[in-house]
Amino acid sequence: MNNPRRLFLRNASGLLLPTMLPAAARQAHAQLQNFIPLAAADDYRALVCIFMFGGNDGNNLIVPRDPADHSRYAGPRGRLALNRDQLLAVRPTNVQGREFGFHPAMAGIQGLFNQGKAAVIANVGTLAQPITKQQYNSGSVPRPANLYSHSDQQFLWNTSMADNSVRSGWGGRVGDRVAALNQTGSLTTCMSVAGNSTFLSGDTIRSFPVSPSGQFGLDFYDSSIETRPLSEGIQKLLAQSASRTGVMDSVWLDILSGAIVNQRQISTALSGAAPFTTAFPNSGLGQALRMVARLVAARAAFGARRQIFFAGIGGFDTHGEDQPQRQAELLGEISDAVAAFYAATAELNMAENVTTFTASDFGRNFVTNGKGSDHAWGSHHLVVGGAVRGNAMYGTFPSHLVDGPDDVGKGTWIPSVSVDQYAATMASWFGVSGADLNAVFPNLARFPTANLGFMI
Amino acid sequence: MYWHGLCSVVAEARVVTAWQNNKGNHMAQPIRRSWDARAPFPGNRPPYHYDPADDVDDASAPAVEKQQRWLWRAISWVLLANVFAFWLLTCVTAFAQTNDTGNWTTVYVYYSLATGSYNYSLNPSAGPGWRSDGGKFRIKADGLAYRGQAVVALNRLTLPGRGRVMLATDAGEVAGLRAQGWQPDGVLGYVGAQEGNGLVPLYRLTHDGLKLDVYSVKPPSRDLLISRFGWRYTGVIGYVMPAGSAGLPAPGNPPSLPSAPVAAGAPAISGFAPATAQAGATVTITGANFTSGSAVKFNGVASTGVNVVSASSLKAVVPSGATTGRIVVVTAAGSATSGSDFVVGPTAPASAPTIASFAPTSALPGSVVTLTGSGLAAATAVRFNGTAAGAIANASATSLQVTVPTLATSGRISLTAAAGSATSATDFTVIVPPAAVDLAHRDAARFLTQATFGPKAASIERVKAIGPAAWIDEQLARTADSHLAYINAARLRRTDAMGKSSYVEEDSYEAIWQQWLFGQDELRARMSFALSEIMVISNIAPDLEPDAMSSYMDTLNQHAFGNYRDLLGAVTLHPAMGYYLNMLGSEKEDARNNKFPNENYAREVLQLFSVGLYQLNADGTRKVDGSGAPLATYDESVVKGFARAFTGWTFFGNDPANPKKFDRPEESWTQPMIAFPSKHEPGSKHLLNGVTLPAGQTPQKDLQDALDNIFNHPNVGPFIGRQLIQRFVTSNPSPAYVGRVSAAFDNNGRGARGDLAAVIRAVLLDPDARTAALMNDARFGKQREPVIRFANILRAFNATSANGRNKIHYLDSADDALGQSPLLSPSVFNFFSPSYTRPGKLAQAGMVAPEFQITNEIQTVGTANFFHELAKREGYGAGDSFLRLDLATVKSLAGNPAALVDHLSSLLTYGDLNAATRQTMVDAVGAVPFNNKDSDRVWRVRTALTLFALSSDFVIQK
Repeated sequence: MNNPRRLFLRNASGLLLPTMLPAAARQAHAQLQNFIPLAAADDYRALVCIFMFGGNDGNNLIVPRDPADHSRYAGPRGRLALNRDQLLAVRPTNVQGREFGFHPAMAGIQGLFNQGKAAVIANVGTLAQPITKQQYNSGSVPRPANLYSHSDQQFLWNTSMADNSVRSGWGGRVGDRVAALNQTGSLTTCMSVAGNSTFLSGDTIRSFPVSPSGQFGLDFYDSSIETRPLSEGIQKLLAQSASRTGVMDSVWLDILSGAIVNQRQISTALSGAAPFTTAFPNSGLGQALRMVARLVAARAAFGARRQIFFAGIGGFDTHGEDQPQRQAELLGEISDAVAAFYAATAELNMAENVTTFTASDFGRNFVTNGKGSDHAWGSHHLVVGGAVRGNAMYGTFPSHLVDGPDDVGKGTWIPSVSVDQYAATMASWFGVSGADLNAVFPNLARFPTANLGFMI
Repeated sequence: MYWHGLCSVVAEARVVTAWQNNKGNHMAQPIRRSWDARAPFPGNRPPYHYDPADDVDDASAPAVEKQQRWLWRAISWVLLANVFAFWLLTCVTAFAQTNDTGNWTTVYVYYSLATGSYNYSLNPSAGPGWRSDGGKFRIKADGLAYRGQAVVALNRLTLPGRGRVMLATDAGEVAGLRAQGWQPDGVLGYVGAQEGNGLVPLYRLTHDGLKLDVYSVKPPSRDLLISRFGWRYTGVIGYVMPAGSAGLPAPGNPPSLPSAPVAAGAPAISGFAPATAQAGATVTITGANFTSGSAVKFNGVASTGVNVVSASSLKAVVPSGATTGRIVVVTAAGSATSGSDFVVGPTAPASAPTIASFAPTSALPGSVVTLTGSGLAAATAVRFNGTAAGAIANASATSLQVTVPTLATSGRISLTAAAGSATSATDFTVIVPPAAVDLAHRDAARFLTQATFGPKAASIERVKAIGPAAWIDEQLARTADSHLAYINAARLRRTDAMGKSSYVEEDSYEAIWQQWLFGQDELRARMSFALSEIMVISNIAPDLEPDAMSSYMDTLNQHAFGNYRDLLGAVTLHPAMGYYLNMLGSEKEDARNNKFPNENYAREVLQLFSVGLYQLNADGTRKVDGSGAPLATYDESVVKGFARAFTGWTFFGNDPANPKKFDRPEESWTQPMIAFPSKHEPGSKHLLNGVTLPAGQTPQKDLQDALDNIFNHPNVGPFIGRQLIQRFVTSNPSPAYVGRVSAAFDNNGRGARGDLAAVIRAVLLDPDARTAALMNDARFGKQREPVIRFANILRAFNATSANGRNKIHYLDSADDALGQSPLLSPSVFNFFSPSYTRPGKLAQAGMVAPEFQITNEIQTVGTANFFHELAKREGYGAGDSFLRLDLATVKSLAGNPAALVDHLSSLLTYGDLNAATRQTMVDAVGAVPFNNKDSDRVWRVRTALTLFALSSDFVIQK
């Protein structure tokens, strides 16, 4: 079903041409022309999270391709098993010569991996602390709260606090500590192209959502004598936020006023940003990452030196017969979008300054339920960028032994590395260090290493 | 200070209205003073008290007092003897019933036997020393037009130390009286500028000996006073509503005109302009009691051209030969001499006027504003943000006074003179007169905003008539139109020449909006939507068949007020849910072939549809262990147990004896699923609360037992009850409120558990839902869901289409729609979580706000654009399905910004709009140019409607 509403091409031009802008914005645009772009070597870093909502079945993202390994894989997977010859072969440099293959829809990722620009982090998941199968079964060591529940595990992936009910995301907590490096502070430090985001909600900072379509601002604002009273009336209403008794009244007005002010600022900056020619796929994630690339290109106008972006792709919550087809579509969308995004950052001379990584609720049972696969735990993830020690696999790939030492039920893998370690490795690259790192990841010290080594 | 004053007015207006709505209950209750920060307001103070001691400097006091008392007794005798039962203002007071809903207030008449004076007050209780005359009449409280006719302010003035009270509407007269030492005592309210539409003239009579003014609405009493007691008629000062009239007379049916004035009083001059001119120039003289045929003399030389404009204004040409001196006006009743000289001579060289300042800088319509500047003597007109003010008074070269016109809007003051024009450097703020809140309307509209997709006029009347409880009972009995029937009819319409037709998903969305916009089952519509947000299916992914979706909506409608257990059973076996959460086709464990029961439905039915993750107390709070950690409701073994209990089900119509059909079934999307015993897990099933179903039960028996196990878990009442409260009333219900709803779930009063009719009654009739005072609680209320906001507006303006259908399909884009669309939730977790909070103010306040999960900078702007587009197009959709808003009434009010805003408020915010929001909206609407053209009306309505759609007053349901 090719449903037009699921495409995101709402504003084909995307770019706001200077001639379309109101006078004030034109003036700001003129000023931006005088801005000297930062050189590639300048101090700029960005993290881009791609959240796979619904729990990606990572067992089919990367598959052992050596014949014996593959046959151990194929049996329990049943109808979900990918044929060996379909797999897009890679040879990670650090796994004693084992051969793996990406899902056949992920040619773009295979290419980046082979160029050394992408790495696989095997069997990552939420962990309150290291746990063995025996400890899991006996309950002697705490499990993450509400394993296997979508909402809870999404939350814990975002907070990186598997045993604690903090409400802030680790991206937001990092943002709290780097916002001062950015001229526009909290506006540009944490930006979401996927709506409201726990990941980017810090102790003080909040994510600023940007529409992937590049649709900005009230389309009736300030344009004529008849609408000017409306614009002024809106401004007066918004200014009443502080005097409103109701908390929700106040919050509603704050959101709207923030939107009006900040969207103007962003659209002005985008219109002055360096253009790029890289084409992006016309998919939801493709257009979202295109917007991220445009925001990266506009970093000079924002005066931004550290930015964290949040993108998302939904539809992974499959359990039934449609799962193989659906997953192929979704992984293909990710692969194509990420490949284009990497190319765009390279074109902007920013490839080494931007790191993209995946996250998801949880993995899926290695053992099929007969049609699809159900909620499980650890799963495999991707890190992409010029600063990634690519063409390699980190963490420990699961045994693929049903009821083996790392399986707590139907191929539910106990994670080999925690979200905390995965995240802290990237945060360290981002510039968070020492006491700050432990403040952002309070549980980090519980794990054997704080840095998995996949970042330069 | 400014807002403080305004809020005080609102408070005051509410008190007055409360009294009107509860006649007799609050008669003796004093009304708190709250107005004295600004101009005194008579309604807040005891009637003016005349103290004879103030009069000691009057040498003739004893004799006058004697005469006054004699006359007073005569009047009293007339009163007491009841010769005319309705003389002064007592014309029509017999009817207690009033059923008009306008913003009227009553003026009460008092008299003092001790001093022989009369007074007029908004205060229904007499102060010490005063007695009610029994007379009253009604005037507009808010300065808004009455059935299209303009109103003017009714000023009360008092003469310090003289015990006299004067009512006046004419700005020139007010200015003249002030020049004579009268003190403005505030605006009582507003009276009509012309007779008709049920208004009658308010006559003023003056007694020179008594130094008393009284006011009458009845010609016989007026004439009696004149013919028998020496009163003289001093004009009609405006048109008022008789007190206690049984209802508003029909428009366009004015009562007979009053007879001509019997006698006119002596004229008076309060001022003239210009102060200097040469022969041949025209001088405007202001004062009182000018009559046609008045003669004017300039220092004794008769004017050759006199034009009497009104009783208070005339124009006279300076005759040749006139010299500097007083101006005299002569009428049949006497003469008047100006208080200062008119100078005959060359007018000062014309210089353009300037406005240096004005005071006060903000005031109610009807207030007098003094402009200071230069070149003002020759000013010919003053405008407030373009609205012309009345006569200019007390003009000198450096100052003048004007009255703020009734329909003035905030903005610059401009002034025109022959030599040029001037505009103030700053805005004058017209304080919007307070709106009286119609409490009965507010309470009914508020209830219906919680209970339906938006109050409609008929529903409001029904709730007012029978009350919320009886209204709910009526609604419980109403059934829903079938969604399936709608999409079948739509499919039939699309049949092609070959006789082929198919369902399209858009029909399923239309069917929902048909119910929301046009269904008579208003409460059921809202309930089934709420249930669809708890027991979620979605066409986002995977794709659902249109008939599956519409049949599912029919199922929710059918069980909306039935028993939760039946609802749970019907939802569980509905193929739409079966497909969405994979219970359909889930089969018993077959480890050899890697087949295991699908856990998806088992997990979500527990986590989202019934009991939730944590054990709850009856009031919805979490149970905790010794260390304060919440207690889980179940573990993985329970999820697996339910998954096993739910195996073996597939589409209706397949033969259970043929196992192959289980893997490749015929699809039936509207019938409950059926079981294949051979595919059902035979082993035991570990369920909630340690219950284990024995091995070997039939699929049907396992299913019933499993659902009973869920149904009887104590979490269901608080878990579902709290969410229903959140969908209808408030995001952060008190534990006590949840507890009461939960109790209704546990026992409907007749011993039955799970009665959703009892639950919805408990949700909507709870004191926490009905207590209006909670509207001012910082934590109370909820965001109206975006789709509900849209429905509210469509219903408020009775949107209809040519073909009776709608074309509302995809509203889920946050960029240019609402970020929400029925049946298009992103996942089974609905559009938002019941426990979502937003970092910042909400989190700091410890509040959740589910709807804010889809509220962000993109979506707020997207919805703003969406609602602006709705206002601009005056509807939604296309072709014969275009839903057109009926904006005729709103547009008719466009000339009066306050009336326009108040009307929208009555439709969208219960007629109880925050004062600051109201002032902002009235100012904004007033700032849209208005020359009475259709396009002006369109722009003003668009402005007002867009502002409402964005205002927190509308967005946050209180």
